[in-house]
Amino acid sequence: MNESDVALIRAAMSGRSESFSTLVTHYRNFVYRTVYGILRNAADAEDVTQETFIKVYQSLKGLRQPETFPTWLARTAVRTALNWVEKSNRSRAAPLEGNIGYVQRDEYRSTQIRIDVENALNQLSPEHRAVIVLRELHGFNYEEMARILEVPVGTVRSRLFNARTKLRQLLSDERGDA
Amino acid sequence: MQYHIPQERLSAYIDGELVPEEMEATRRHLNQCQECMSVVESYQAVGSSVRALLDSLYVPEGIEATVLQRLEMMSGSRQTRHLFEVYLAGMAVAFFGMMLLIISPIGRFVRVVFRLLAAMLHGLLMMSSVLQLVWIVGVGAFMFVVLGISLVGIRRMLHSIQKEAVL
Ligand SMILES: [Zn+2]
Repeated sequence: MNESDVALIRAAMSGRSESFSTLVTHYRNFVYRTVYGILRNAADAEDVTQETFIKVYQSLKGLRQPETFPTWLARTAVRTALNWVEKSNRSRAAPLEGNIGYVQRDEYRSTQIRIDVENALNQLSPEHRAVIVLRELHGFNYEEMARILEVPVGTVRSRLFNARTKLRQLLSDERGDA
Repeated sequence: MQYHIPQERLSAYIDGELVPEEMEATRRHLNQCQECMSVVESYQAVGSSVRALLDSLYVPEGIEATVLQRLEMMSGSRQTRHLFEVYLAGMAVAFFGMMLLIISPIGRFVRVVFRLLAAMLHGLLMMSSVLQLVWIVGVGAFMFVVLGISLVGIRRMLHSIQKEAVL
């Protein structure tokens, strides 16, 4: 996070709505990708992203140090997403399969690999997906992840290890089948 | 190499999450052990494919607009609720005020004033029956215009309050 982001967060904390709007623009990809990684569904990810920013708006004034904003934002996003999963598990039996919502990029052209990774992620638990997304996408350290997920550092370490091992297993199975 | 490094430790090594001595020992082992090195590489490959997948994700546009809209709506309904509460509180204060007035010694004075006003009103009514219809219509129209002006004023005031309430 750079200086101008800190200034932006301070301005948004003081209640300036243009600053909050800019803040949403800056962090919309951050939040959306995080919650999509956990939810695996574009429509849910969009709803939860909105939900997250509304919570952020309502509790931004309680943030002590603007420097901790990314961790704080990630915690809000992950918690909102996990609550959403819990709620929708109660209301519907089967999770939605969503293989839409990707743009083809040059560096990521291989559709088959993408589908394999999608399928593998779908088979992880939401908690395992959360830990993978926080580490691999955002590069949070264990201490930060422990704060985000509200678990001990040792749990972060073993959960990440289990998630990686499971993903590796699933990916090699899929490649073996193909 | 007799002993390999536990995979969980290798996973933490990738993240730089071992104590310095462990980091160093693991690094030295990996330099000599292809087997453990391939485990490290397999974890790194898993990480980069997840990163590539999520990085290529299309993020829908207009999330900002929807968020701001929802916040505006929420603040609007809060404002309405607030106005309603103020109205209820005002009614309650007025009601208890009336009760107090009626019970207290001032109440007697108020009743006298009220009777006086009633008598005046009665007189006015008597007058109206004496006056011609044209006059009654004139007074009625005047009252109607005054009522209209005050209603427009109240509407404008509410409108400006709502505008202020928007974020
Ligand atoms: Zn080894």
